[in-house]
Amino acid sequence: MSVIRIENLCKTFHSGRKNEVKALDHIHFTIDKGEFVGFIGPNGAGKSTTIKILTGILVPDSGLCEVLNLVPWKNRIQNAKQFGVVFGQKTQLWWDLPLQDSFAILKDMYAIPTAQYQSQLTNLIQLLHLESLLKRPVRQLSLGERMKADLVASLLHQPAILFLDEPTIGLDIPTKLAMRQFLKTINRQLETTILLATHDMNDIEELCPRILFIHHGKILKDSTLERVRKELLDEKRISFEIEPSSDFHPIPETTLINQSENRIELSFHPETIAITDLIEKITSQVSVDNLVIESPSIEEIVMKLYQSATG
Amino acid sequence: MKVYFTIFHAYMKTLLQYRIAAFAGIVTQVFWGILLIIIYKAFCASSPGSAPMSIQDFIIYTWLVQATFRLIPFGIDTEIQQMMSKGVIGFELVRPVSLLHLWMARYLAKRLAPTLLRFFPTMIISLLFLGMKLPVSISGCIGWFVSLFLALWLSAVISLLMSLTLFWTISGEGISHMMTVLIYSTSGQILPLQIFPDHIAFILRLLPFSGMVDLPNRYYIGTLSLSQLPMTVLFQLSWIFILLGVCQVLYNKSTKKIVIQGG
Amino acid sequence: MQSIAQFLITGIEFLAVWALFYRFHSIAGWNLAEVALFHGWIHMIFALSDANSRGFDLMSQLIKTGELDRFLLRPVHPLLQIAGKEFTLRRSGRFLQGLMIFIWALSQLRIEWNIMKAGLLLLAYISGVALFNGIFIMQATTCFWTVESVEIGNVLTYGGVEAGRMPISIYPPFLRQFFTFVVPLACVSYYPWLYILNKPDPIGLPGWFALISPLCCLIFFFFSIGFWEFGLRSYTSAGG
Repeated sequence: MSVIRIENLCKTFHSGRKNEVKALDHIHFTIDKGEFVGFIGPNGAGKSTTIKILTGILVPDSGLCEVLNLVPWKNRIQNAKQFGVVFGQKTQLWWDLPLQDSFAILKDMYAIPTAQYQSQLTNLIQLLHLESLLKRPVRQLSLGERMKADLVASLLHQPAILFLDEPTIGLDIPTKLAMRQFLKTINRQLETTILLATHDMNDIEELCPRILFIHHGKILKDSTLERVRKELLDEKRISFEIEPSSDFHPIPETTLINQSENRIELSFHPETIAITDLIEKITSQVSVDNLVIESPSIEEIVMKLYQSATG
Repeated sequence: MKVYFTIFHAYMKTLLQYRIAAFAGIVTQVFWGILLIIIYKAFCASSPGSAPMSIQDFIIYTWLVQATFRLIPFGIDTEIQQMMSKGVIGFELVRPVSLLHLWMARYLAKRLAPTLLRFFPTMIISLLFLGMKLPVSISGCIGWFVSLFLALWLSAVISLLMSLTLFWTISGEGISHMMTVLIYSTSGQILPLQIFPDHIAFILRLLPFSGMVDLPNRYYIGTLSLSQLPMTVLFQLSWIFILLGVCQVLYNKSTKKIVIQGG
Repeated sequence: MQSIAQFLITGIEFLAVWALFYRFHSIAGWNLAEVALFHGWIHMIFALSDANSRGFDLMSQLIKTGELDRFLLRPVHPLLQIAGKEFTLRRSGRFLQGLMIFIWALSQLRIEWNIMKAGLLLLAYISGVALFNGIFIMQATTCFWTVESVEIGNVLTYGGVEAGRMPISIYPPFLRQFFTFVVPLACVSYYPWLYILNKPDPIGLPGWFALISPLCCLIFFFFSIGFWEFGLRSYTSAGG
């Protein structure tokens, strides 16, 4: 059952008389209930524009967009009750008011019944450890605390959909981990559909079974991380330490990536040569220490993706 | 509907805590009032027959202005300005309620809370030591109270209008500054409108700003009688609705702009 | 657009003063043009002082963020750094306002100028800027002890500007003395102009006082710097 439908969506921005930026160029995708989708792409690719259209604060030039069967910009107020949104650097909370007052205002704004509000609030606050911050005005919160509070705010009315636009920018590691855990939980327990636009590849790796790659306003990939990895950078890396004086001859099935006095890094395809065979070939030449086998990092994969898109 | 009351209540709670700022404000207003009264007395002394307003009335008017000083909008709303510079205004559109009404509730609190904090101490000090008097009569008091209540609403709408102009100019400072000066000079905040030449005072009394200061004060002093209340209520209400209409138009235009241009 | 706005603001702000003179024609022996002189003069002085005062306004922020400590590490006097922090022309409008009214007032009055008077005028202007900066410095110094800036200082600055727009002879003796010897606003406008306009002083101070009156401001200024140094010493010894 599709929860978000976008077909042939176009949006061009005009700045001045001559400047025209094609932000969205006939993009097309559907998202089903309970999916956790990652939205990646370089800056200016169109991620924020898409989310703005989905939340109804931007009107596209042409094409179809439906969120739970409503057209966002036409039914702005109705649609607003169906989703929660967190825009990275910006807060939707009231700057001068204590956190709990912001929440109370949202309760009335979304007409959340009291019992439901209480249990949801308690639940969310506990999950994100915000108990001690409830009385503080928002302007006194650190960035991480504010982001967590914004997450809570976006979920108070138990929306079916959650849009996240760069939610982990500038956060420290513990906070990032806490947020990831939290998002995983609500996606699994409450079947909240989540669309996460981000630059943080670790977020994607941790959370998103499916990714949408957007560049210059076009969706260039709609796939899973595993498939993309296989397609673009289906290789493994093996690195190990050797005695400085040893003589290492290149192994035909491998490519040399890095060679220093005592460390060598090779890349290979598991299909061309089995790992056990490779290790044998290496150890038959030299004695090794600290042998590590890994896949290319997700950043490298995405770089490849960017390159193949522009190339 | 309830959400507006919740916002009003939340802002009142927070703003009523700014007591130190209120104390500084009271000291400033008392000093100001004393200064103004000295100046007026000096003027009266130089040409005794020319006073358009008795010294007694001037004293009362001045202390009313000082006691309700914060009722009048001034300067830029820094919270809104911050939101604008961070591009967050578009966010307000994501909510299921009209931003206009949200801000209205907020401004009612923003005008009322600081005024409440300063009103009673200033009144007490001036009543006890500085020549202030109680309202001339019960009916004067009623007239004062009713028009003061409407003055609050008028002030909130004007604050709303000033904030909406920030949508249009990136540094709304210029417009806000100008509007502040305009409002102060023409409302009676700086000088009772009665002092101005009669034809100028007449024109100024047609503007909405006089409804915030000059109007309630005249009831208190007794220049206006209760029989004129229906007229003045109509005056204040009309301006409230007209300005609300202007706000709505500006708001629609701005949201259209954001929604098409991407804010 | 800005200049039109400034022009309108000038007119509107002066409206109240004009209205009072419309009704009363004079105050304590001073007419509209003479009072307009004070008005424009004080605004021109305040505008220039205000241009470098932004840093002082932000004093509590400078302390909180540790920027003040950074200033103390540099080989330039911290006061100069604070003053130079944000030299803004935001008040250039006020300066223009003052100038416009000032020029109008001059055109209405017949003043016999000579070297003495011109010199006194220049001295008065510089002293005035020094005076207001002194007030800003003192207000900023209080931030060493109370982290939030004490708003009451505004009574002196803005209140002072208001008080300075009228001849101080109208004020009761206590205020007069305060504005002459403690926070010498009168020495910036009233006394110099008394001399330049050849008006007798109803308060009875000797004529030569007008000539040295700007010095009171300079004394105040040095006092304010001393106060600053005192505050700074207690700040640094407390560990900042």
